[in-house]
Amino acid sequence: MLSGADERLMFLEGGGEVGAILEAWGWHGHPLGSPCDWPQSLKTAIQIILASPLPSWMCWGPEQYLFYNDAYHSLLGTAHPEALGQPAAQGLAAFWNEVEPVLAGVMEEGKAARLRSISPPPQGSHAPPREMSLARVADDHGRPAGVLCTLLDASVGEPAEEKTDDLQVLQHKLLELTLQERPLELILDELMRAVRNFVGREAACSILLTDKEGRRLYHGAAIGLAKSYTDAIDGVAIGPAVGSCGTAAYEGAPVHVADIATDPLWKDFRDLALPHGLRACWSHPVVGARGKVLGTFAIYSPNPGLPTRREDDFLDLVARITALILERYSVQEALNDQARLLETLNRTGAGVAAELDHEALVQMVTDAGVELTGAQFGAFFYNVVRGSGESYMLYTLSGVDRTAFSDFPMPRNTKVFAPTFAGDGIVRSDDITTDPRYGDNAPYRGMPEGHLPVRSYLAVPVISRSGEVLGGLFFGHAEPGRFSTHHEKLMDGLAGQAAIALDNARLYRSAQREIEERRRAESDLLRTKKDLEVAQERIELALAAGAIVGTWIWHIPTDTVTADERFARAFGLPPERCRAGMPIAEAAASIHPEDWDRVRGLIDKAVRDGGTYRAEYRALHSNGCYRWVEAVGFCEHDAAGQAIRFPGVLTDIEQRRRIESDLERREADLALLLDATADGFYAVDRNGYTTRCNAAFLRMLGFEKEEDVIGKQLHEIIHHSRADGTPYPREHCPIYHVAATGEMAHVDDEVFHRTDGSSFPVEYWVRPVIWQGELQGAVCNILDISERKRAEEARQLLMRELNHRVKNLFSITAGMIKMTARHANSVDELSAALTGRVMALARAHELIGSSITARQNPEATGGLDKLIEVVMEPHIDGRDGAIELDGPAVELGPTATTGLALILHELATNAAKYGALSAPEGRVTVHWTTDGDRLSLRWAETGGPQLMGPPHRSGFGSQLARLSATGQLGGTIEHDWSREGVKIHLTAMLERLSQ
Amino acid sequence: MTEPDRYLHGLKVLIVEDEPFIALDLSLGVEDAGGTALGPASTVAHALALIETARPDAAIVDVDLPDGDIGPVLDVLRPEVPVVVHTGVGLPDHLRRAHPEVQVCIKPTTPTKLAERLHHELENRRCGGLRPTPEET
Repeated sequence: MLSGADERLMFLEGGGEVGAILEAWGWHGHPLGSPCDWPQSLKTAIQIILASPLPSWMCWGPEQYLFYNDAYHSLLGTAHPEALGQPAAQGLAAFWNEVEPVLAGVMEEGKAARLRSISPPPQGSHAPPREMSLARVADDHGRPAGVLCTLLDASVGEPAEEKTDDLQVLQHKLLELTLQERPLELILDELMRAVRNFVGREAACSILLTDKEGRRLYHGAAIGLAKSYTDAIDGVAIGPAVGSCGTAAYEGAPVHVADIATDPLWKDFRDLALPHGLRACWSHPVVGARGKVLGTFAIYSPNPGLPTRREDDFLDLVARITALILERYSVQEALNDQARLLETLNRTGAGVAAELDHEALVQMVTDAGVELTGAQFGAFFYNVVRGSGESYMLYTLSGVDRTAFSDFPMPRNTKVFAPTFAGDGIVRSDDITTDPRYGDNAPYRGMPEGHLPVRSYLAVPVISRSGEVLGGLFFGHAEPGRFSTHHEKLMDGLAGQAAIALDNARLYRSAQREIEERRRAESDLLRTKKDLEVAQERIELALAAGAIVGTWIWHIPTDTVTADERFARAFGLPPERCRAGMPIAEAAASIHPEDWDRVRGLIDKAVRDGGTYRAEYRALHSNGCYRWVEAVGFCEHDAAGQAIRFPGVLTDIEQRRRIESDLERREADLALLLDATADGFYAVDRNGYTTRCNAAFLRMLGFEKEEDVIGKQLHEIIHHSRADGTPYPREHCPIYHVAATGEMAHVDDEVFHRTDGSSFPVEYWVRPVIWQGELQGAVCNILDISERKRAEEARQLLMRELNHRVKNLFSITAGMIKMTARHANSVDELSAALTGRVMALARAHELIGSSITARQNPEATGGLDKLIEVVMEPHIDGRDGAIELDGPAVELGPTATTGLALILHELATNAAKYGALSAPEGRVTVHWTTDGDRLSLRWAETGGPQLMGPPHRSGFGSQLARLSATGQLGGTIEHDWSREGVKIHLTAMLERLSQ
Repeated sequence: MTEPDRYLHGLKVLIVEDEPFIALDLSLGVEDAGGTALGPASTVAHALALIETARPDAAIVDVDLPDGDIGPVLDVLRPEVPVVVHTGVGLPDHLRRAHPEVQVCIKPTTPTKLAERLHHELENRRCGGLRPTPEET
């Protein structure tokens, strides 16, 4: 068999005509698909049917597809071959009604059934009456999948379960066994019992099974043989002269030994067999697919002789059926294993793959192992090599509490454990206490006292892909013989999974470590990289600009500097001298004397410590001028730490220096300019970190120095609250917003906070900083608008006050007009009186206005003397000395000014009309003093016409003056009408005067 | 319909006003309306003294006076005595709260108008408050 497809179709081989039809059939479109891909159980069932000499059919799956063998197709007549692979209801239409309920019952309950009275097949009227035997067939997962039917010759009569010697019945029985879902040992035992019935009580039978390697035969099942005999031949080798079975297995052909006592094949075994009364042994190989010998089936006879024809047929039949059973079982076992492995491993594997933590991982694996093997407990021991070099193992446990082991020391490399930890392979023992390796090591000589009892033992090394033994899985059970090869296989698979997962976990951990390492190194790297980039950039720039002046190599032990031609040219040195080499002193002669000490220091340091050297200095060029150069070199040390070689490059940096100094100057200019402005200036990067600021900014906010703000976010310090005291979250800060988005902002209703906690109103503008099309951050110009705010507030106050005054003035004027009109005798008189009073008010108001605007400046307030002057002025009419004022400074408030102005106006009017001021030489003296809380003002007129006593009638003016003095000013007014002139004494409360 | 010269007929009307022209104007206005002017008082203290001795039937008062606002005077007069507050700036909140019913006229308002307001308040009282106060002008 060469191709995979052929191998998969092997079950149809030897299947006669029907087998050939199934193989050649076009299965495309059939729900079962290509036979290559049929489930293994279906393949086996069909193989068994095809191999059977009895007419047999089977229906499979929910659709009950019909399969049958050559023996049956002759009974079907013309329905063949169309019935093949079709639903059984069609293929078996003739008696379906009868069969179907029985079929359903078998399918349902799993119990075999027999059907006697069925209609004879249409074409088989000549055939003997038959009986149908129905048995259920399982699929790969052990679930009911179909029903197998064998037609038995009913004429044989009632087949007694235990007594029949009919080959046909036996065969049917065996076929049924084959398809049963039971453990192999049970099936083989049952096979033995069935065979025993056939061969008779005196004969014995045995089935031996080939081991995996095909080298030995092991006990499979036997009947009629003593245990001592089967034990003795258990594990017998397969070879050219090893009894009947060993030889039959070796040759792949039946070996019939007529007399054990004489046959040379039994030379080595006759002493073993004869005492058991075994004289003849006829053995047939059990040959499976591809000719592989799976075992042997043998009949022992107590009498010498060869098998009869019937016995030979029987041997052949049993061997063939055994082959089917073994094949099916091995396939089934593999499938079951696979399914279980897959299931558990998938479950474990999924967890394991996801789990990168050792402890959890190992726990999961151990748990899975215990579950898969049925062990009482399991453990995983992890190889750990301590610093001392000793090998210890940490463990996880499953199936038992950790305290059961906590009192014991770590397991050591005892003889039992060693093969596992050495990775030598799986150790499995039905009873470890009988193992020669057990109990060989001090101090415990076996398990320490109190250790959980272990008889069944299974240990599987967990080996990494790299071949390293990661640890071992150990499983134990107090009962002996609990673990099978099957478990070995499972654990082998699990160990493989575990190894991969542990490898992954280790890989992950080391990757994590590496990442951590890298992260740490990253900052250093970044710094270095920046330096490197700068250096690289410079070299590239220098190269591009042709700025390299020359290169040198200084061989230090011999103090020889060799340089290239450009170097020689640049410094006016002879090229051959540069080629040949010169001492460093000579090569360095061109360095400017002022720079030399510094440069020598740098050179000495590089020579002493090794590594890079960089110096900038002025060097004398061949044209007699000094130019700035940059020397970059590297001093190499030998293994002993001695400076050996010092190569380097000289670059002309004259231009760069110029640019740099230009830049520095410009930067200085800018800083000066910024510091000179009264505006606060402050710039932030895109994340709000301060990049620069000016002196005004620092001053405004109370910072001491630039370092206090550069590289910091200031919002929380200077901008944390709004003008009304509510918090100002940084997410709303217009400055940061501009820096992040590039939009502009202008704000004039916020406050900034000084470092001492005080705040001041500001107006600020924020503009984005964009460099080469990319947003860099924002700049903010800040104006302290405290003064402006104060001025604004003062203006508003003034406006309110003026408004009030004007209104008041109109009220007064209205009253004045009314009152004046009541007392006037003519329109002229009214006009004159009114004009005088209004003018007096106007003059007073002039003083009030200035007193309001000048409130901040007390010296400018209108005083009493000033008021008297302005009110009297129209009545004096420019006469010098007509009025004399004397008294201390008295401040007047707006209300008092109005009141006092009217009083004085009335006095002056009277003086001008009837008193001193009506005469050219008349005078008025006004003297006042203050005494505690009172003003005392004396008004005296002289030089006017002589008075004849008080006037007959108190005029309105006097009435008004009295009212003002007593009411508004809280004082008094008294008149003394003496002959030479009136004397008036006015008092007022100082407190009222300031109102 | 009462004639303007009889609005305050036979009533003693207290004048509280520190501005002499206005005070005199009001006094004469009260007399023109048939009443007798008490005062004019130019301070709160003076007003309270007058109230104590002369028991006014009505009052025309200013708000801001040299020794404080008119509050104490209103407290004594209201709500029994009809009062018109004659002010340049309106009634401060605390007085408005204390005397929500008191009538307010913004300066300048003619004495005749003030007399009419007092007259209406008196009439209303006499008729059980059914007659509406005339619109302010």
